[in-house]
This record gives sequence, structure tokens and C-alpha cells, in this order.
Amino acid sequence: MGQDTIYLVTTTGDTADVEALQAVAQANFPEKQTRLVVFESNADKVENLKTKTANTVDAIDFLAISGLDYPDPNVLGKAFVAYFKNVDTPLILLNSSRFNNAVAARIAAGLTASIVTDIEQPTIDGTNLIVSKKGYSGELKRQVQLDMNGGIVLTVNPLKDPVKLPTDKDTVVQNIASEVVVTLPEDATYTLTTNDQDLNLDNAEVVVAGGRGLKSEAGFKELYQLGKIMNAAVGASRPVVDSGWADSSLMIGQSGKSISPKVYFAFGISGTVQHTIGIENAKCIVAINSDKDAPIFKLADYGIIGDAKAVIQQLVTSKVSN
Amino acid sequence: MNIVVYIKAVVDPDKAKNDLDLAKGTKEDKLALIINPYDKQAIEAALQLKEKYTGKVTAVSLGSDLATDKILRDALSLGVDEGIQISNDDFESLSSYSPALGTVLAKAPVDDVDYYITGREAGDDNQSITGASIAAALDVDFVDNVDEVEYNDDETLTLTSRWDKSELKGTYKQKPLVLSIKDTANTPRLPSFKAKMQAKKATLKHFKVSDLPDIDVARIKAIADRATTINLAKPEVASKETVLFNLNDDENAVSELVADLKKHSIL
Repeated sequence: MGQDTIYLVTTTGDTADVEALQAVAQANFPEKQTRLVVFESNADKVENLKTKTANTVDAIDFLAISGLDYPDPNVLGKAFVAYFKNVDTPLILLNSSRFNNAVAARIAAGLTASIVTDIEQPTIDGTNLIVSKKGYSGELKRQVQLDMNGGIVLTVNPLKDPVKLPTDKDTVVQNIASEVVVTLPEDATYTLTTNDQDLNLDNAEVVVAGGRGLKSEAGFKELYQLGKIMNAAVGASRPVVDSGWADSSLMIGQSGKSISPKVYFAFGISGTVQHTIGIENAKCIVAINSDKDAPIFKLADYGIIGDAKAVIQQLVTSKVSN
Repeated sequence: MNIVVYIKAVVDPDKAKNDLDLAKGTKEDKLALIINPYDKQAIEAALQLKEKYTGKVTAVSLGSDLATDKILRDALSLGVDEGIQISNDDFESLSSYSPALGTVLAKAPVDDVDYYITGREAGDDNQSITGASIAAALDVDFVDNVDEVEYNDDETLTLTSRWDKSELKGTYKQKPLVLSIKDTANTPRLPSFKAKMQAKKATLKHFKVSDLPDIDVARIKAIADRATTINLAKPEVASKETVLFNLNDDENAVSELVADLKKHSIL
């Protein structure tokens, strides 16, 4: 087994992403050597990452792909396959996200490695690795046993509790030029759809989200006013998006975003697992629903039984501030 | 234009959570089996391609005969031209935790394919890996999470992929190409009664995994055996104490909630 080293693959040089991945490795595989494999085309981010990760990993390989200025999962997948081609049965971790899952799948297929996405609690059991993963969109939980005599690729969910990273490693930094052929369309454009400067679902401490219980597009739009007063980002459940009351970029849940605000207000959202899977990492959940039996109350820290529209009105009128 | 759409039979999640034998596959009930909800947008995308450029859509499904028969007929009733069942008799299971899945699916005997299409993920295992796995097996390009398709006159497609924080848009000329379609990309059509009746009488093609061309069953089995589900259960739900106010019998419910949130520094 070539698995005394664990490979941490990242498709961005964002230090928060890298630290989250390091934390998972440290918490679950403290005995193993850690090698970061990074694709980041922005030179400033590369320098920043070098400084931030100094002495916390055994090695960093920066992968440069000539002609690729942004992460395209198709090309990246192929480049990482080429990188790992000569590693015997690697154990590879990526942070879980839609984007990374596609990259991970291509790496796994290219290396004939087993793959499990969005996992938690990896544990070594003899020559096997056992991981937990949600099934049926969160209705069930599955344990998958992976034979470590073969390669393994995992995308991992972030830890809930912080972990102290080692600070005494001699980090060896390498730059590696990938020879993968970039097959991007000539007219390809890559856009970041969330701007870190603006308040959005990813960075807001408070999120106010609405569901079918708001009855109409006009009812949903009231949330924007509340969001302004509370300095909160606005989110939506799937029925709201399907009805055309809100843009799909606001959708939270299995088909949309997973968010982790300090407090999440669910106005008129019943709380199907497909929705609540997206708010599992919210620190506090406040549910407002006229149906006292709505499943969202089982998850909520606070709740109001009552008409969601009326509650929004009262909050707006009382100018509740954050 | 030849289009292959991969579809999977899954146990209706509402039934799976109440009957773990169905979820585990130790019991099979035709009534509980549905087309993976995420594959409906894949079928719709395939049908729109065919309608735009003329061509043929073949649906391919791997699994038990009972399951694939049911969902392939559902696909035919929507306008898919041909259904191919691939039965996994040669294996106890071929899960999506194994790269062998793409290897097998990529061997489905359809000639001169322009587009291979999958749904974004399967509703039972939520792996979201099939498209990339097929692309790797075929050694072709893959466009993931396609949320918008523009059909160009020269039969190229301008595709927009959308992820949590970014989007990628471009015109893809290369063929074959593998696409995975997001569940917000389109609105799937519904079948007519007449089409449903016709689909019941249609003939499906049937292959065993070992019938597929250039396939090393022993090797695939060895790879597949490296990943196995050892437990499937309801997750433990930590019971939460909910502080509850009732607006119906307490007109100050909202201000009391806000006061409580402020007291605990949540707001």
C-alpha cells in the first residue's frame, strides 16, 4: 500500500478551503504524511497559501496548466489523473462541493480508484477504510467499506469542530507543469457568481429564507425589505424557485446551496430533507410556520407558530436590527 | 445525431425511508421503483436535442430486469426511441462507489454517439459521479452541471455550467461529449396516455454485462468488490429543544422571539 501519504487536492488556493481540508486529514489521519496538490492560477493566492501553510504540511505541489487560467473541472480532472498516474494506490481527499465531485470522479475513474463523495467520519479498520455518507438525499445514512489495497478518492464534508494543525513540519514546495491538453471552447467565459464584497448566502451571518407559505411572489418579495433591515441575505426553498418567485441562485438545499450562517430564518418553509440538508451547518435555526406539525420545527432552535407573512410584517414594522 | 441518455431506477425516497429492505435492494417492488428524479431533466435535454437537429435517442439503464424494464418504458413514453437494458447478473452489485460503473456504461452498444447525457446525480446514492466516470472511460470531454443549453445552427452547443459560486459558459464543438444536466436546466415533459400504452408494447434490447464488447468481467468484478455498502440506516436525529411561541394566542410572540434572540446574542 502506498498510503502512508494522504493527498489533499484543491482546485482553489483559498486558504479557508485548504485549512478545512487539512483539518479533516489531521483529525482522521494524524499518522499520515500530508501532501497538498494545488491548482491555483492566481500568483498572489499562491504566495499567500505558501505563507499560510508553511510548516503545516509535509509537501505542496503547485500544478501549473499552461493555457488554463481558471478551474475547469474537465481539464483539471485530466491533469490530476496525469499527476497521480505513477502513484501506487493513492488516498486522495478533496473538499466536497458540486464542482469538486466532478473533478474527483474523473480522478477516480482515471486511476481505477474507488470513490465516495460528501463523506464524513473516515475510519481505518485493518486494510479497509470505512466512511459515512448520506443516502436518499439525507433520509438514510450509509456506511461504505473501501479496500485500501486499491486507490481511494473521497470528497469530505467540513468538520464541525476546529482542529489544531501541526506547525513543525518541513514543508517541501514544488512547482509542477502539467502536460495535459487544454480542450476549452475558444469562447469560454468563467464567472464568479458570488462577490465576497457583497452580502450573499455564502458570507451573510443572517439569512432570511422563504417558502411556499409566503403564498405569492409579492409575499416572497417582502423578504428583501426585511433582509435590508436585518443586514441579511435572502434565500428560497425549491417550490419558490419552481414557481418563478425567486432566481435559482437563491435556492437552498440538495439542488441548491449549502449554507452556514449564524442564524437562519425559515419563513413558511415546511422543511423537507431536500431543503434542510442545505442548512445543517446553520448555528441557529428559527422557523416560522402556520402548521405546528411542519417538520422544520423538529430542527429549529426557535419557532413561531403563525402566519409567516404576518411575522415578516411585524419584524419589518418593528425595524428589528441585527 | 445519436444521443445516449443514461437513466437509473431508484426506490421512491418516501418508500425507501419507511422500508429499509427496499432501500437496500434485498426486496424489490415494481411499484416503489421510479426513474431517478434527476434523470428526468437528462431525458428532456436529450429529447430537445433530437427535436432540434433530428436524430435518435437511446436510453440505457443498468440494473435488475424488473427495474430497468419499468423505467425504460417510462422513458419511451416520453419520446425516447430505443431502450437498452443492461442486467448485472454477473455481479451481486455494481455500485456507484466503483469506477467500474463508468467502464460498463460506456460500453453500451450504440454506434456513432454524439452526446452522452446523464442527470446530475442519483437520488438514492447522491454520488454525482456517473458523467465524469463515463467520460473518463471513453477518454472524451465532460461538461458538468449544465444548467442552460443553447442550440447553434452548426450543431454545436453553447452550454452554461453552474456551481455554488461560479459559472462556466462556452461553445463546445468536440464530439462525442458527455454532459451532466442540472435539475434546474429544463422542465421535463409529461407522457400522453397513448404514448404510455405504446411504450408498454415496445421491445427493449437486453444485454448482460458479459455480453458487452471488450469487457473484462473478472477485472470489473475485482474492482467493484473493493467498495461495498456495509450499513444503511436511518440517521440518528439529535432531538432539539425548540423554544416555541404561538402567534395565534400571543400577540407579542414576535417581539418575545426577538428579545430572546438578542438575549442570547444570536441577533
